[in-house]
Amino acid sequence: MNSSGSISYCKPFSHIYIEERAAAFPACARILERYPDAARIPIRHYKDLFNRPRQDWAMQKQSPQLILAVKEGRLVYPGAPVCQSFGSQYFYYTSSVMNCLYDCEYCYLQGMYPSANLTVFVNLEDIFRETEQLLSRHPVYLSVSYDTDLLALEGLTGYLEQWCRFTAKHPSLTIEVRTKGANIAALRSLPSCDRVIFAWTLSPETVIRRFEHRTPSLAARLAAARAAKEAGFSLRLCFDPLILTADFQTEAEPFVRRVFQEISPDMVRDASIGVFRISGSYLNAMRKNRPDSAAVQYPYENDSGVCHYGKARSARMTELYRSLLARYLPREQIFLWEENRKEENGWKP
Amino acid sequence: MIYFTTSNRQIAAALRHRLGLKAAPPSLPFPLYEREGALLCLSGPDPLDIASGVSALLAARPGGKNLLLISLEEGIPLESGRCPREWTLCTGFCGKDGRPWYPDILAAHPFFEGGAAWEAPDQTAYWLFRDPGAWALVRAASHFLAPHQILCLRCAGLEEGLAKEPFRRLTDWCLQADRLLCQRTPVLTDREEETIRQLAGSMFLSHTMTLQLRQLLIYQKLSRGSLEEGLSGFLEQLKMEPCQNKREGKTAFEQLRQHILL
Ligand code: SF4
Repeated sequence: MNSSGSISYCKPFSHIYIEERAAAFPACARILERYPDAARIPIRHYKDLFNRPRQDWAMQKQSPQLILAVKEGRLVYPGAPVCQSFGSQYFYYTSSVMNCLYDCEYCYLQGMYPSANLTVFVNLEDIFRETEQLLSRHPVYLSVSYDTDLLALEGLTGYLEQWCRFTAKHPSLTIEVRTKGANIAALRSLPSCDRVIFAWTLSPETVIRRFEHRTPSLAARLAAARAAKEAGFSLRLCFDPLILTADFQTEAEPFVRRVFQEISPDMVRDASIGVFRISGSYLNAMRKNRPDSAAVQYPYENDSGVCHYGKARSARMTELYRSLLARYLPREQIFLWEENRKEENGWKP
Repeated sequence: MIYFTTSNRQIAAALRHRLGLKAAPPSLPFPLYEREGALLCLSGPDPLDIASGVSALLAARPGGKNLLLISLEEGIPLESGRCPREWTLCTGFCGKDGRPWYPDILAAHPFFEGGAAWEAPDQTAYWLFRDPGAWALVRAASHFLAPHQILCLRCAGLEEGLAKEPFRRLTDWCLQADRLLCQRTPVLTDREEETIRQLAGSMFLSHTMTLQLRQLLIYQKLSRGSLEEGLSGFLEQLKMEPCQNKREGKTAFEQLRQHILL
């Protein structure tokens, strides 16, 4: 209890749940070393904890706990149709971690996973092996920070360092690391490779403060993006998801101008634009989890199972950003997420 | 709202005294004691009694998300001498068949921690109590409540655990945990829900459109702070002068949508 007699939430990772099989992996010992005071609870299988019915995502986010587990079955998946593949034919993704340290109100993970607890799979080597099998057949474009933010977790897992080394050794592998992170020290210590694309999600400061809780400020993200480029990585800027607010129109131009004041256009490999969209079933779960979030409670239009701001409004939002980015980047470097792509990609709601 | 359950008469008496709980009119097969915001259910000691007691209680008096259930019992050590003689918060449970269940421990607390098992599934020091009743309770309660709403505390030395100071610390913590974890206010007040019902009537909305109206007005409140803000009396006027027919209602609904959506 604090001095006022009220109690607070447990610190994040005050409890670490360890799958029996995971204990034997070096990554498990490494992570546990970082939390010497955490209570350690042995578990049979991570799903015994992660998949419990009736978990309260929002409450768990107040005090997220850590699960260390071994990932089984298929480890590398073909990219989902709602995601941009940036023209790559062999687009895959993998999740070595489920869930994220940050707490964005619009995050799809709260619709996808039954639990907000962070699950780290300690058998990264098995993911490497499966990636190598794919590489023996064709080049691979792999998104590795998909259902998490690996840069934010680098201090905990050290997985980015391993991914960078692995990518440097495999010339036909390109990886994308999606992030909102700002861990410049980690970025500078990573083995550099220009086939590692750091993709920063950028939002106006008002959106960051209102909806992207616990994430670094815009200034910190931009500084980290510059540091990544200077360290020899490729840089992608993601204006995705665009979130509709009362200031959407007025803040777009100063926001984009500020981005390119900090990041010279010639540092940028490409940029993506995408309006917020979400599967209807995820949105239902998110609305239960976040009853007080305007981003989640917006009355989206449900179009064959995908919820969005409406075709006309989404097109206007995209066009605004496309025209602003076109002041700095050539057309072929700007990727748009468009409604009609879901048919091209065989989208099945 | 906080519900305590126990099968131990000493613990029940201490709780009644400490929280000022009064016997409630009989409505369940087990005695209930209550005061505003707190209730105690005294069940039998058998795992079946415990499971049926908690199921009957949660079915008869569901608390939804605003309920914390706390089970307090004497702890029976799995290995004598290994258990602390103070209150211990159970962080894991194991059934007869080896199936586990885990609560979410979200509130910081001053207690020891350990596991309670029907039979110890392994030799690790984690498992402290032999407690078939705890397993029965968590299994039954988990059909009604989220894992952070179900907490079990055990004490291997009741004499120490029920002494004035430790018991005061325990009950104070329970009440604080209830405040931290289980007291939420809905987005819409009862009055606002009533306004939505009236507006739906004024616009002749179908059930589906009423749900759409509610979603729209939830968004309006979250983005602008109140139902009326920025709508220049539109809602008030609609309530005062209802539409004449469905067609007019549909037009009014569309106007409202245009006003609210950016
Ligand atoms: S950074 Fe991405 S993964 Fe993390 S909470 Fe935000 S949206 Fe979700």
